[in-house]
Amino acid sequence: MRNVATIMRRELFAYFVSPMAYVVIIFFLGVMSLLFALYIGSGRAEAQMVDLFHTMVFLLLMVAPVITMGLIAQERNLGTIEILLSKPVRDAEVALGKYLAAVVLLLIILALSFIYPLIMEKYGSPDWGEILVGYLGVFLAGAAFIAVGLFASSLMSNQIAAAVLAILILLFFWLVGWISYSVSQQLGDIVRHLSVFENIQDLERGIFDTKPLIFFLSICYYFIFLTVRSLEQRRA
Amino acid sequence: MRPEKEEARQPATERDPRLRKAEPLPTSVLAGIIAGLAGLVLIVVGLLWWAISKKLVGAPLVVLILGVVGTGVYIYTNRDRLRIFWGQRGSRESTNATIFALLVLGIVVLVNIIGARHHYRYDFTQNKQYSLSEQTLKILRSLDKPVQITAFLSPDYYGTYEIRSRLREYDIASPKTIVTIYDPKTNLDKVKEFEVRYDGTIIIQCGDKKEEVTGGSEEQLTSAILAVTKGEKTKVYFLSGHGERRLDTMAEDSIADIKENLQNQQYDVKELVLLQQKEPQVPADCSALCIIGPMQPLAAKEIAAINKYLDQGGELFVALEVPPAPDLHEILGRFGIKVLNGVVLDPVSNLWGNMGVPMVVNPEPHDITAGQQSFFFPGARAFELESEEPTEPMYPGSPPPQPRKKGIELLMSSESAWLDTNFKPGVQPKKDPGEKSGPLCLAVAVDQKKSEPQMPPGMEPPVEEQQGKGPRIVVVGDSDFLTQAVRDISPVGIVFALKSIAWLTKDEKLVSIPPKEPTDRRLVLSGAQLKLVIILVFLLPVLVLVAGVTVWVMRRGG
Repeated sequence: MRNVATIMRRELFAYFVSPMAYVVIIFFLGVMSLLFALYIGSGRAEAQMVDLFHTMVFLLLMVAPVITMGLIAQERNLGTIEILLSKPVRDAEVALGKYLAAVVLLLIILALSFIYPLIMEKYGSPDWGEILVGYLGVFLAGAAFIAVGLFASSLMSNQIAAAVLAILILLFFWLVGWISYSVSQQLGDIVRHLSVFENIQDLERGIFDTKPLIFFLSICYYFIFLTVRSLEQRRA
Repeated sequence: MRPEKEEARQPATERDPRLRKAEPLPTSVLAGIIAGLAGLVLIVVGLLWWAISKKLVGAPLVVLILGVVGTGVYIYTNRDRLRIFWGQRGSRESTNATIFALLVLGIVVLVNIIGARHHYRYDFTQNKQYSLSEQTLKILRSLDKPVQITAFLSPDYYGTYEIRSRLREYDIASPKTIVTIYDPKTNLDKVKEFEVRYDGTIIIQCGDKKEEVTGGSEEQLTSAILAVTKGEKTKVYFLSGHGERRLDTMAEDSIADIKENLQNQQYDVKELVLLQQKEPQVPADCSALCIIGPMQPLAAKEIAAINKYLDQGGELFVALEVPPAPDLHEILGRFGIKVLNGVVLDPVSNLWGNMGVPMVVNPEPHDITAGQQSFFFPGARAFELESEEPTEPMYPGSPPPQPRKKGIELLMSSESAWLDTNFKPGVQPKKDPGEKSGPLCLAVAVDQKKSEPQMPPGMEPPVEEQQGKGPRIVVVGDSDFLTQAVRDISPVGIVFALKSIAWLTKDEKLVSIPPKEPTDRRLVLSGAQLKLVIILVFLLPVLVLVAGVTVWVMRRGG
């Protein structure tokens, strides 16, 4: 675990001494603040976050690949991955350390976005059960997106290609739900289960369900597993 | 030895090709990789589309072709790399790794299948906004046949989100419920197939039975499910021909809302004109007969027909009017209900200071009054319930039985009320000597289906003794409070009528699915507060920008 913590700290430091973390946070909060201001100013605003959660997940779909694109791809491009892999550190520790660094950045972004429900609390009476479960959903989705992004980064030596690949995979998980209502019931059920949109719906509304929890954790686990396999291939 | 020393002098990156800095990929190769990835996605989408539409023409074909072209571009632009790749020993190891990855994927899929079938769910919202009532859940869990719920909801339809959420709960609650949602604007073939006319239509099917509801409240959906799974609709007849309240008009003095509500609850509502029949007879399929505000007396043959119906265990809901409207004594008197002659006036407990509109609070706890706290009646008459003769004790040592009323006094006026026997509109009323004082009974319920034999404490009477064959009757001393005009002030009368009919027909579907009141969560901000909030939310990214620039400047300076 010490190796994981060391790698995580190194990556986090790298995020905050480069413009990366700031650009991502400014982009995320800028868009969210704009939408929040439009919502509040519409005159029909209610103290509920369902729509904002939905936007957050969509923004994370674009932001997560940017956060992760350089994690391994950049090291491969610069050749530093070989130095890292030649050290007494396991591939799983490398993958996990880098993954956790990106997850901590995600947590920082979500913590900053907590300003919106706090404002709602000041001028209305939001349902905190709904909000906290909603945040759990957004976090789980974001963590899953990061795992996908990390895997894409492990395949590529070009950061942009890694980001494009991650966005394509994530778009598949996002859009696959659209066709679920136009198909037969059995196929629709399968397709719906793969859809991020369908899985996030309940959590966004304040309903905790173990089904989406298992889905997002599965994505996290499987794509980290694939990343480790990818690193092992690199070492071979 | 010499060459080895020379080799040792070489930089590590030159000795080991794996440590050499990777050369940037040519643009054509990079473009090929992106095209290949896009091609793979398109092939997957195209195959899914093909599987769904079952036809490989048009858009799915184009998507598949584009996918194949993208993959072809990748193979062409990366042909040298691929040739080297397949020639390496590592490629075989890659195959093993792929099999291993697929194996883990299989385990992950299995965990998800188990997780989807056995999952824990909890509604964390304050008033359990999205949870179905216990009654609905009980009904859904007891389904033994598949029920197909097909909803037509466009994104523009008011309440789409709420209805979709609700339908999702129905879908999850039972493996027998199959929910399909179509957007009517993009699924015209389905609109035609189901003959849908309005956005927001929900069709519930079980076998060859079909119900259609619009609006999608829990009460509507659950009632429709009961209707398609439980056989025939409950028939409720409304007597007509004596100046009763009209069902088929939206006039202020009509009771059209009751009809509409009953129909929404999957009741079959019919008008009954006994006078038109040669030998008047209440139909055998009548689950409840309603007589709402008759202004002329009933003919002897009609009374005989209604009495016969009640003697056979019929159900009757009566709402009377103040004199000179008939009191239906020939029917009600047989069951111990004495209708008093006069108008109830209450100078203390009334609506908006009008003593002619007595108000009743704290009704007798009963299925009919459950969930309701106050009632008001614009012009009502009162009742008295006869008592039954005490019977002999059922077992030695039991206390001597007390005389019992033949029914339940559901609604009682306040003590300040009195029964004015010479009430004249426009004349200031006053209580005359001899006029009956409050509390006065304004609504009664008689249940002769269920006899209650006296048993020793802790012992239940045998089941066959619990069910009598007598009627159930609900009588209320006013019919105005059921009308459209009063509904605009309060729906209390309509709810009372619906609950009465539900109790009479012993139909569980009407009794207890109260609509969930959404919490008022409006955000109220003044102009200045709005400005402050907007400044605050934009200040946050600006502060992050300042932090970023500061770090950049410091690092440059360092």
